[in-house]
Amino acid sequence: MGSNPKRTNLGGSGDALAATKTKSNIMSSRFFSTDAFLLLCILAVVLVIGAIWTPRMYTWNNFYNILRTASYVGLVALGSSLVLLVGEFDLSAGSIISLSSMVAGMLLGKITNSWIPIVVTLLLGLLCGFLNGILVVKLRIPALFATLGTMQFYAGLAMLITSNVSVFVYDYGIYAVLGKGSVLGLPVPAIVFVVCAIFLNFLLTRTKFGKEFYYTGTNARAAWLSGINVGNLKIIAFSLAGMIASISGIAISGQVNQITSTMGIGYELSAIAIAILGGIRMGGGRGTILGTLIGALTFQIMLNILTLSGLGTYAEQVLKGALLVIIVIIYCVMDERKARRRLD
Amino acid sequence: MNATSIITNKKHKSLGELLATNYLLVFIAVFIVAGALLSKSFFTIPNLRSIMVNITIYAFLAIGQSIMMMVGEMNLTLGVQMAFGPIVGIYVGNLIYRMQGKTLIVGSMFASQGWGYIVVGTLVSGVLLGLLIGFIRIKFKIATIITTLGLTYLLFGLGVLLEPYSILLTNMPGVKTLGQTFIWIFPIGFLILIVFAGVLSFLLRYTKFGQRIYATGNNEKAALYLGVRTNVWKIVAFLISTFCGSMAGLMATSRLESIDTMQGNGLQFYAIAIAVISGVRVNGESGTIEKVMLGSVALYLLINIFNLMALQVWYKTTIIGALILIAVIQQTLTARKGIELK
Repeated sequence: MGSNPKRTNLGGSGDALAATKTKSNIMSSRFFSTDAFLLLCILAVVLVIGAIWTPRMYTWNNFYNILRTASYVGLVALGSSLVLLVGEFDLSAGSIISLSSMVAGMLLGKITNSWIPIVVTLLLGLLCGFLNGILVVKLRIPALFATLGTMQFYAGLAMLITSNVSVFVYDYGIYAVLGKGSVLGLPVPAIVFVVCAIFLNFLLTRTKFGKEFYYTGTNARAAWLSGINVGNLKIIAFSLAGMIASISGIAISGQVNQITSTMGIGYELSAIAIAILGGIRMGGGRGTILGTLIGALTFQIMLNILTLSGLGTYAEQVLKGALLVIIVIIYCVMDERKARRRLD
Repeated sequence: MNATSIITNKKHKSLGELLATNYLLVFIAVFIVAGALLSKSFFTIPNLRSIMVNITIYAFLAIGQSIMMMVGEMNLTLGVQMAFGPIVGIYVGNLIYRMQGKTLIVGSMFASQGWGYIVVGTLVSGVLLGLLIGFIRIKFKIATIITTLGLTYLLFGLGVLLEPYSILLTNMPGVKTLGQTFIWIFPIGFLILIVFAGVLSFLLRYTKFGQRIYATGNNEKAALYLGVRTNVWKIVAFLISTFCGSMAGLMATSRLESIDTMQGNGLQFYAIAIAVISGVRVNGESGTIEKVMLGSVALYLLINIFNLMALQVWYKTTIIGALILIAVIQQTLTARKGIELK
């Protein structure tokens, strides 16, 4: 097994189906049947609906806000996309946001160095995600149950350590910059979001690591047989997801100038909805990070239209839920049709 | 049928083994003793009645979750269904009243008649929800976890949009029957639960229904090749599950005499916790209704002790999370041990 020639072939050669497929599709004439095309169509439809229904959304200030808010939830969605790509599921992202920000928040008044809370947040996010990974990979608990448990556990812990008291950030150094700063007229969180997305996209499409990621999601057993350390990859995916979620936590606390122990609630579902809207498939192995990027933007524009039209926050809940169900169905129907066409 | 029964099915059991197999009874005994020691009001009639009412709600939800898990699926809408069902009932009732030129909801938050509409609306919406989940599962082959996760938020938002205020059911005839009428300490709803659980337990244990449900959960493909119409049995399980959600909703409404959009919010996690600690495998195939009932009693007794000691809500959240994790870890470890023994 050790000297299997096929094994060494896998990483670099061009037969990496899943990873290169989306790229070649965009180039080919069949662009119109790709996820990217569907996603751009949805975005266009949403923009047109916005233009008709709430024309006042077309101001720079509003778009600035959309970019900023899209990046908070988009960052979480990047993490969820990674986990979905390896065929797992993460429900605990919201609770990781609460817990990691809260622990760092407790240090805020006591430490003068403003980098330490940031580092603590990131490390804690990494640790929480790592724990999820260990539970799923080493103890072989189905990801849904493991992250459901940790979702409750982390959320409870975040409230427990502070007795549910909020911490005010008072425009504290990096928090303020990350949350509401702007560079060259663009919001800093959006820049962070795009940089993270580009970095992850590079990682997933151009490196051996990324190809292994896609192989693991497409067929974990085959990937394992061809010498990929599936378990470690999954743990890495969970850990990265936790860390990216905690970056989002810093940005959110900077924006509202406050850290509360319940601030992450609901982000996990939005994140999953965005990832799925962006074309990441539930079973894993299909979808791109750039899809998630556009998905986050589309999602936030939809919410923005709802907000501007005065339908209130509960319409958002309906939208999130309906989006999740309908988009999954649409992608499912599309996949089936494609599979049938391939058979013909 | 399952791994634990293979391990523990020896003739002579030591005390430790006996305790380990009946761990739910041990928990219940410990919690009763702890409750009696920690709080003077534990063994009072009002507290026992309150425990019974709550156990009814939790047990209905847990049974609804367990039957889904037995066929290898999940239902996260159980909690939100508790609010959505009654809301649909009263909303439709209000529409019908309006057509006749009368009003059911006075001042947008009081209603004094129309319990029938609530009951029918809750049960019918439950059936429709079950069919919807089943349709999406079978037609598009999408995991129920995703569908129900989406539906949870959809139904919650829809509920608030339909009835933005909590509605007080003042002096409504019939409303007190389920949750506030007692035969000694047993509320009527609890007795209904016992009958329901008994019938379901009998069906699962002694009839083809049970075999087919377990077969569907154990290995869907194998069951299909053996001639079990797995799709039909899955839909049956979904319908039983949503019926349980409806009953829990009616019970909560009857008990509080009000319909609140937040009622039942988050209880689906408790249902999962109970199902898992009662030995329902996360991959389906195993678990019994009796154990789920015992699990509900044990978990609610724990919550009741927390309430009597006036502990804050976050202790509950943390402990429920830890409980799910510990129970699932324990399950996977015993499952592995069972495989090694074979």
